[in-house]
Amino acid sequence: MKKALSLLLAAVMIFSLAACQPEVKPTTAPTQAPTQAAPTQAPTQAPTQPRPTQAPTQAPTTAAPRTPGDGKDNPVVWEAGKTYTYKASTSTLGANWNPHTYQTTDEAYTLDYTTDNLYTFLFNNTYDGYVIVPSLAAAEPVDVTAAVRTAHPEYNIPADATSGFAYKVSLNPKAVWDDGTPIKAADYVESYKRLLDPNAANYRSADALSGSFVIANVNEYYWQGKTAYTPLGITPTEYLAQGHTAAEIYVNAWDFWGAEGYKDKDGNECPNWISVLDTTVYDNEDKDDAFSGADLYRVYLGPGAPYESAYAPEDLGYAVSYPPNFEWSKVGIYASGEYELTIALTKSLSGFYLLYNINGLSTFLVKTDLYDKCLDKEKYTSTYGTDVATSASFGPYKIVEYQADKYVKMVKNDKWWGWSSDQFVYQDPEDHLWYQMYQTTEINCQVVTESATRREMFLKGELASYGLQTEDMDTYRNSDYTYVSPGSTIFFFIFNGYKSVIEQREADETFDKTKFDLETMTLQSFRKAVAVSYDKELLCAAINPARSGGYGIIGKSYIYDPDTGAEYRETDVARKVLCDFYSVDTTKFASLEEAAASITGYDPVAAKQLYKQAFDEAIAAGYITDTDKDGKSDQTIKITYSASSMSDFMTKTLNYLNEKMTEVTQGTPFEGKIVFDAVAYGNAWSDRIKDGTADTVLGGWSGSLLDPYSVIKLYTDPTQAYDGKWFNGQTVPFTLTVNGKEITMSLYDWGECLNGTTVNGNNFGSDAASQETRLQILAALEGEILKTYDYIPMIQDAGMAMLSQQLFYVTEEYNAVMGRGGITYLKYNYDDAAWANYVKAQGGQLKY
Amino acid sequence: MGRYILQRVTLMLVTFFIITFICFALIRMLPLPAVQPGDPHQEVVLQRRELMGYNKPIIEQFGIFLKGLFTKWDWGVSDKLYMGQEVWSIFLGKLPPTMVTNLYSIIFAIPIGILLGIIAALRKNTWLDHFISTATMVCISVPSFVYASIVQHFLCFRWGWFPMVMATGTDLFTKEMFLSMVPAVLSLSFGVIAGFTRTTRAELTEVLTSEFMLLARTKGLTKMQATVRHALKNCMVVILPAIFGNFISIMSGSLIIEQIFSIPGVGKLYLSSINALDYPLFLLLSCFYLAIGLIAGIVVDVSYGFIDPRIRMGSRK
Repeated sequence: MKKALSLLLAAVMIFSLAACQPEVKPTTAPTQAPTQAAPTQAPTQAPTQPRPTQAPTQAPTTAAPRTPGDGKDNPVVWEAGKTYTYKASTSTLGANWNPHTYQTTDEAYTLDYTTDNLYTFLFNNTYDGYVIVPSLAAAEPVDVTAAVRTAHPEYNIPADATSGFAYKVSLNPKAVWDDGTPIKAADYVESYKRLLDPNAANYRSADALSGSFVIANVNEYYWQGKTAYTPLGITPTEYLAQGHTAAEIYVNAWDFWGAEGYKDKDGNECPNWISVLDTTVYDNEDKDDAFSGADLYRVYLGPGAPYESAYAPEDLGYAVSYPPNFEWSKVGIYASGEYELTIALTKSLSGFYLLYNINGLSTFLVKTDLYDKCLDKEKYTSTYGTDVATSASFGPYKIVEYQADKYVKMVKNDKWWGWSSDQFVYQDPEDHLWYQMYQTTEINCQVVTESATRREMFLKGELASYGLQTEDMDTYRNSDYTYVSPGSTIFFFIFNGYKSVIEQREADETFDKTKFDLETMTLQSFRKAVAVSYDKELLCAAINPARSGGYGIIGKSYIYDPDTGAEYRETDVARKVLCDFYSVDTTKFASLEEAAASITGYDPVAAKQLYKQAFDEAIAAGYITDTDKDGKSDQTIKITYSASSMSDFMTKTLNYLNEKMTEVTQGTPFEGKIVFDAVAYGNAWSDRIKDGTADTVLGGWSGSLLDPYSVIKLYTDPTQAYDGKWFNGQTVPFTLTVNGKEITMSLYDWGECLNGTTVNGNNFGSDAASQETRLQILAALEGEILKTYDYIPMIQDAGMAMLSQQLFYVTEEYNAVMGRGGITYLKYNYDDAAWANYVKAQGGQLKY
Repeated sequence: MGRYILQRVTLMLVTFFIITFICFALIRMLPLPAVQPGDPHQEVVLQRRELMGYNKPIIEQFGIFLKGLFTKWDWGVSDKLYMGQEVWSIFLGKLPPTMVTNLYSIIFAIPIGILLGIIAALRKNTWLDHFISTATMVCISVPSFVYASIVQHFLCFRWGWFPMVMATGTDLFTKEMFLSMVPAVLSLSFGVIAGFTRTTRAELTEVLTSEFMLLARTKGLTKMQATVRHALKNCMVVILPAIFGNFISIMSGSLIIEQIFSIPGVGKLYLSSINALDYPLFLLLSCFYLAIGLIAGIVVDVSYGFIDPRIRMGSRK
């Protein structure tokens, strides 16, 4: 017994000693990771084998000994035989990537990898901007306006135009399809012809028919034999004054009256556009919304009618009947050589915007022989770009496997001309060596609908990135592998100022005026108070930590000068706008930058004063009462929040808004008397705001980050603005001194001028004014819009995503145009085999 | 029996045609997806609808549909989710993953379900019976997506026994593919096992207390012999039609399970077609599920006659 006990004791001691040994941790333990995910700082790589995947494979070929990567002409080429798979996921995998018919960004997913552009954006050498280099083009476009105008009068280039209307583009003769077929000028022309086939009604043809880059006569070709309607763009009074008659005017009954599906007494459907002389009555199924084109014109939109200024320019139009049998040869695009393309435009375009927009030609490029085989001319449907066999690539990658709703696999397109070009190399800012772009050898994107599944796959090393959800924020927002990418949208509170509608709502018998009030929210003092009632950063932290506080109506990443990539929000004039709006005493700061950085938009002391002021004004105006003279409002200011649907996010937002409002109004006449109450209106949420039947929403606009000027029109143009029915930019005069000249125009006209329309001889479009001049006007308009307090900026949109330890971006700085460089600039710490081993060594789950 | 089957099939075809027409008419009467005001594609979209015949009278549209169906087996072209592609081809491409997953589930679940039911019935009112019955109730009550999440988290993520989602590729009979299907099969099986356990237990319990079972035992049969030869055979009158019904429904798929395990099957196709207002696809799937329901009804009814000759279908006497 003693012997057995002693043996047992000995065994226990040996076991205990073993257990006391320090735990052997893998050298690549994530807990030792430095603060950044950048390769040189990342401890996720085995220290003894730094950057194993970057091992040079090229032997020096020159007499003088050279090290791979020591120059642009001698880049590091990724080691052959190793695979670097970018493992992506998506909740929806597009099933149609035909460049002529795709409709959503999901569908365009593969096009980002399998196509190339005439002119490509690359990072500049310092990674703080970009350069535009020819890719499918061989050189910059050459202006041939004068020559083309003379040779082709059918293009209708203005007689006095000397530049900007016609260009000759030399094409890259090395560019080929993935089967080796050369891409020639005729391919561009034929692709465009198929895009605009009048019988096909291709979805993307609309992109070629309007906008700033429109080739001459494309509308005549596309609409041949049909009638198209174009908004007047001016009031009917102005239109008639030009010598036109009412018989030429049509009303967009679907847009203005929502009359799609309405019928006349004979059961005929209401057309989209109706003559303003047409007295045919259309009505809905309930027979309670009858109208005729003549009615709409006379009562609402015609000369002198109440909505003439606000809606008529957009909802009244003129008809253009296009003659039948328009020949393609008259369209302003032709092959002037085997590798030379000539185009004629309807509007002049030059500089950055030309290079940016001319890529539309390569966007629509299709392999015409394959395209024609896929086209069912009986139904005018096409299977082009729906599987591997019907796809053709001319970009760095090509599709090799595809299963609908499951996955798509792309590998390097060995026929892409760029592999042999010294243009697609970059210098690493860390080690200063030159590398070939596109280290990724394979892109494998599979459908994973559930975000929880995506997160677990990411943690198992099966996905390259993972977009953080709200529930992940606490755990991962501060991870070294988390990247923030700002969005283009500023979410602002829009406050109802439509007084006549508010009065109607209050007059409704179900509205108890002794308990509630709506009119107080129209007071500017009240809105000012709301504007400083919330700490915007805390608001974001509470409802969506990926986002940050928003302070102006133009977001962080907008670029005012595309040539330099200069961001609007980083300019002094833009900073001054914010300082003025938030009443920052700039003399207390060393610079405007510091002054603007000090803005939090939160000032509870000022808020309390402003609520008191609003109370006094509301009492004086008779909006609210204080019958017991206790200095507090008898009524609750009930603010209806127009939600699209009720969700956890919505509940969280409302709870936060109400909770903080209660805090900030303590001790004021509105203590506990301001309540946000959400109602779900589905897709009609924005209409509810615009027509004044709901009071607020956190809404916003997204737009092209390269064009903040078009964004400002969303505020100055009453047909687009949320507050267009109670703030008419067409009737608000605004004076600015531009280049020493004092100019007074309506806000609407300023917005139009800034976007290239000539008003009273003024034009501040990209071709007509310097960027600095445009910047000054843009900032002035932003300041003027903010002053209305119809919009109270709250949130700057952003997204957060984690990047796998397997890979990293060459630069971590986010650029509005380039992002972080995408697949082009991705580098790998591990090839696929090494990564699998690494994940296994970590126990199959990684820590971020 | 032959006459009865013929009658039922004829009636089924008539029912199918009528319901198909109703579906077609209702679908075509639905408003088409709204074109957003100001959308530059508005005119193009409207033009396309004109070309697709959406503006013709419904009866004419149905005539065109029937003509295409009977002459070319043409169910139409998807105009939203799978732009330009034949909806029949899309559907056929998605059927195999759904069928194989469900087939594995049934092969796995039915024997276990029946076995557990037999054990529970034979051990009626013992702790084993109570345990099985309670587990059965839990399995029936808890939605399948809960099982799916638990299975995925523990078996796939925590313990790493199986892949997180179904493997990629179209060859459904490889080892890798089979392993990747196991979590989905398990998740689908809980409900089926519980259903069969409950049915078998209830039927067998009733049969075991019948007088003929007593007679069988007094004739000298062992309990096992009496149960297998007599009791189970009688239970099959109820269980076998349920098995047939399950086999037919293997084509119907499961929205939640397919979504969680990324199975590219028909389960979520129906819902996607409704959400996307892809009417041709929606019509095909409606007809498909209608056909499944009708065929299942006939098969189950007819199977009664084969299993128990005492049941005479359609007899006028």
